[in-house]
Amino acid sequence: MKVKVLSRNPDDYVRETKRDIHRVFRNYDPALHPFEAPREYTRALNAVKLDRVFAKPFIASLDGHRDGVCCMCKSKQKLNSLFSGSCDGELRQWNLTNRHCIRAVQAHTGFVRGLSCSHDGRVVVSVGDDKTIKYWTTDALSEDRDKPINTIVAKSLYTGVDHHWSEATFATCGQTVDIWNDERSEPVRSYRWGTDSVNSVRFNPVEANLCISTISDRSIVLYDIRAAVPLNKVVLKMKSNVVAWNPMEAFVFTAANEDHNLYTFDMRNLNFAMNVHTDHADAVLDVDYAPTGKEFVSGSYDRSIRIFPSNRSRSRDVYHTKRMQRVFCVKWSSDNRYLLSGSDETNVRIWKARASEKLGTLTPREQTAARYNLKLREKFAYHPQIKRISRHRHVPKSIYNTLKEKRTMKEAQRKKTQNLRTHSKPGAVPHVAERAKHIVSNTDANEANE
Amino acid sequence: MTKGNPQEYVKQLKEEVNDIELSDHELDDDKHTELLSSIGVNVDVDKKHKNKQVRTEASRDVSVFSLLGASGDGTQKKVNLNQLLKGVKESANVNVLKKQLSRVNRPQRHLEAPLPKPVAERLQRKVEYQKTSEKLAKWDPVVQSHRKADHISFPLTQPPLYIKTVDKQLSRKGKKLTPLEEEIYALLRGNKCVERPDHDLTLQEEEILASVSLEEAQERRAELQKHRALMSYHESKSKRQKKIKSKKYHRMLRKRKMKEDATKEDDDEAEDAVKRAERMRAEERASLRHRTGSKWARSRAIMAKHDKDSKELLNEQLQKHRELVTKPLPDSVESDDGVDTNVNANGEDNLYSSENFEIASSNPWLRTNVENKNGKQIVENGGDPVGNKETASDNNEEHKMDSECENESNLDEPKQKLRKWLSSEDTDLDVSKHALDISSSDAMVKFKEAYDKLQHEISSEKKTAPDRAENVFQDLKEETIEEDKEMQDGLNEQCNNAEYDVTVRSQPLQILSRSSGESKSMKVDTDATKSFSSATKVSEQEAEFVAEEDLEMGSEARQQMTIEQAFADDDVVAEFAKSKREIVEEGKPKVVSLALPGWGEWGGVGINPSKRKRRRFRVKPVPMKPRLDQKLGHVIINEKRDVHIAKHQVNDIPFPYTNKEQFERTVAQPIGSTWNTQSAFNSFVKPKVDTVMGSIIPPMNSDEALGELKKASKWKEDRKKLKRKHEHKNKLEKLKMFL
Repeated sequence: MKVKVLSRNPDDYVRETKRDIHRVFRNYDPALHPFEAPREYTRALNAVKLDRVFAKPFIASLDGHRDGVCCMCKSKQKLNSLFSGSCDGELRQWNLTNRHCIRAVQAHTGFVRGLSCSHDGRVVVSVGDDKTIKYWTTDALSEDRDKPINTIVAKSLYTGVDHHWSEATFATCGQTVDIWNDERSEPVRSYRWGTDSVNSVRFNPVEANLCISTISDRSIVLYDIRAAVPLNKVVLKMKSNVVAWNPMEAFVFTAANEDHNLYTFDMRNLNFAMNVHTDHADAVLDVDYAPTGKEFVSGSYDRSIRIFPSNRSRSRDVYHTKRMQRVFCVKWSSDNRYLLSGSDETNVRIWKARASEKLGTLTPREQTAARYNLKLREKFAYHPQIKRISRHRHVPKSIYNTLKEKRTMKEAQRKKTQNLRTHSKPGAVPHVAERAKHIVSNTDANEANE
Repeated sequence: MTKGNPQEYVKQLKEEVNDIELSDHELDDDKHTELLSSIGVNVDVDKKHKNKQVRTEASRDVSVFSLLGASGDGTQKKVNLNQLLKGVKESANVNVLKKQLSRVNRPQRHLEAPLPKPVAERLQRKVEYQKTSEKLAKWDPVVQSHRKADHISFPLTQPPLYIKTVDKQLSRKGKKLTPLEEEIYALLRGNKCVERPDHDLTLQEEEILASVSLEEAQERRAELQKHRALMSYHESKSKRQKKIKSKKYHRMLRKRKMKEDATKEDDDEAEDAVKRAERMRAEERASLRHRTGSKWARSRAIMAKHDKDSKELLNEQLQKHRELVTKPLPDSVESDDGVDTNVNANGEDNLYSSENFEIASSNPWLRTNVENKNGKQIVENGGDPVGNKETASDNNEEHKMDSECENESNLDEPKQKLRKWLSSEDTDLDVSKHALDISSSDAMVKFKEAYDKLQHEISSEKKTAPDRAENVFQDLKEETIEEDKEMQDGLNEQCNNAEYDVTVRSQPLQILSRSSGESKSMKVDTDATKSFSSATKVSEQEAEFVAEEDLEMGSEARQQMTIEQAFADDDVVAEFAKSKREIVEEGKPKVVSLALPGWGEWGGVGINPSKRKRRRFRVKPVPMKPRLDQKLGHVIINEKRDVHIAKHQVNDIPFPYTNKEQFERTVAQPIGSTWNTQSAFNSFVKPKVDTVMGSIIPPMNSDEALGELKKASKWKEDRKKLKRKHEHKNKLEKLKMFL
């Protein structure tokens, strides 16, 4: 008897080698896949859950300082090199690859107030409470690594320093904003606007001659180092601690403010903030942009680090540990993968920029899967379950309670204003945009009044 | 006032103007004082100051302090020294005095005092800030493009990749070439066809260009152009023809083509051949020579069981018969569908056949279609609605006549002409008369009647416009009343039809009223149309009359009426009850029969499972729980809502989307590789930001970023250049072809 069987050519489905993946034959006709959307939704749900499961952002803690870490700087030429200065005047250099301290120097008596690395990556400049500016070599193996290359004794105390991004020039701030040249022991130029002391100064990475400083009188002042006078200033309701420039958008900067918020400005229009980033439960002490300019990280007095997309007002993620205290300084690594934070309890911490990202090289299939999952999360981001899971974060009780309280206060304030508005003459209580609410004045307005 | 005294006239005028100005001043003063008092300035005090210098009485002693200025209105003008000097009589030292005075009066030359430092700095700051802001504007396009980009890969400037070309490889120094390489190199170098890096054209191309004279080339080009134009004309024509749906047209076309083909060949021979073929066919059809009836065929049929050859012979015979009998058709016809030719063979016009039309009239859907056509026609023609209406009603007759009439072309012509005449605004009667003269058939008599009717109508139309409008309106009203009655008789099936008729009639009415410009008829019209769109069918005509009555009523009553009108048929409660009943009915479980056709009995088209079987497999519905809203009169509770699913559903449309469909579509579009090809999948999952592991991402560099933009523009230019070159080459190739 002849038995009829289905016969196939094995070449069609047998793998050439054992390492090949199995060939899958598919018909992409959508009529044959009626449940594609629900299936993708399930995948998205799984992806977002797994994302939360694997969210372990903390990588390492660099231990060594004997006092709180109050400033840090990363090398502009090397990925693995980090300098940190502590409140007891110690300067340390770290190798981030093997997480070792490769140099520790007593740089200043009192705080190391500011650290900055030159554009060529050869020199680090530190300023301290002892009214000195010191130049250090970045070469940890050189003979004179324990001594400064150069020391400048200044007349007044300096609170910060930052290097030009393409020239051997740097700016310090204290009573005035001084511009220094490497070859000179006197400032090339000084700027002063008002009597209060200047807290920080930062150079623009794109338009390299622009710089910005924050002043204790709650103002943020813009400078062009080629001009004899400052350019403009904006006064907020509370003091700003630090300002960071967006490295991809020449005119955008973000200020970390004492009122728990961050304000992003377009420097050409200081009447309005482009964005108000709220989420911190206490004063924001430091901010640094990702090298892609799409996100920034902020460290706060509330013992947490938050990551904000630069065009969103709410944070994407919050990092904290039980042991991390007030965060004095944060940095985003130049390869866009890691965050660094220095805090009050003497440690420098390394975090992943994306909490659930797998470290190390990925196989192509892993990479594809990761990309697919990311896209699925984006696609179904508006679905309530996915939104809920992806937004869910555990925060310390103190932060949780403070935020709750803040929310209540805000709501009360809103209600009060609303009541006021309904019970007063129309137009007497105007609506003020959140983006303009916190701006006290900008100079144009001042001059009009004068 | 006389002509000879212009001065007086001017004087008078001036006085008048002064008067006016004075009054204006007074007015202005009043306003001014009002304004001042509103701000809180004491007006009286100001007035006191102003009035100080007025002389009230004439006296000999005039105070120096109360002297008025030259203007005399209280505002003193400064007296110039030179003016004073004019009064001094000429003397020797007057000139000296004048000189000295002029020296005094000359503007002094000294520098302005510098601005105070804060003010100067403020100005400086303002200027600097403005300059910087303007300079920063150059970044806007780059920043915008980066913000909008679906995908950016960092670092922005990656080290350039160089590909070693053969040419470079060969020209490298210090290494000896193999003989093969040398050969290839020589070939490439020596050849005329090889492209040269510094020239647009190859040597060969240049030679060709040089060999052809300009005139020759132009001639060729002109010829080519003409050819191309003809081609494109032909193409467009055939495309146009292809689009025409009329079967008749194609039939005519085919016939003409056949005729042309025949004339193209040798006329006599071709005709002979055709005749011969036709004759053979006729003979074949008449005889039974190649059929199975002959003695030989019958014997073959008997033998066929045992002998293969005889079977084949028989088949051959039959085949031959088939060949001979089939009607010889040109190629183009054979390519057409068979049905088409069969119908055409009858020689009847399918479109206007009476059968077709009868079907149409019995089918309500088709009927509306037909009427639609008529309606459209009326709207298009606009000018003489009455005539159109007549034709609309007469169309039926026309179609019937068409089917009866054998001479199609004869009939079509007047019909078209009539249409044409109807469409033209100035009713040229001669044309239609002429059209009617052509017809001679019996059917045409009916046509003539219709035409006379039309003419009558038109003559009545020649009255004044408003009269016409009223007349028409009267007519229409009567008609609509009749129709109303009909509808109320309960002819539900014809409801649609009637409604349509009414709307059709209302349109010409509207047009008429517009032309007459009478507000009365206009108002009635608009009301009527409104009622058509909103209210139900029966109330449409009522609304018309109501609207007419409105004119006499007060505005309040009118409003009352309109409200009543608007809600006349809205029985909200009843509607709700109805919809609830429907929902309840829908939700009730139904009796289902699970009998499968073809199991245990014969199945197929037209055979249903037997009654017994259906009964046997009938599943009785399980009685449901009472509905939640069973006892709640005014509530419908949706029991289908699944809480577990609702948890996963999006409530609001998220920001970038504007409507539900958009959002649903994006969600329904899968991105996984299970449903997409690999390349599509790869493009879908491409991340927004891509970085290279272990590489420093430097901040944006002005040269590179702005250079990129320039590069992009340069790239465009290069493309243009390349395109030009390509065109040039194409031209050359064509030239080559012709040479």
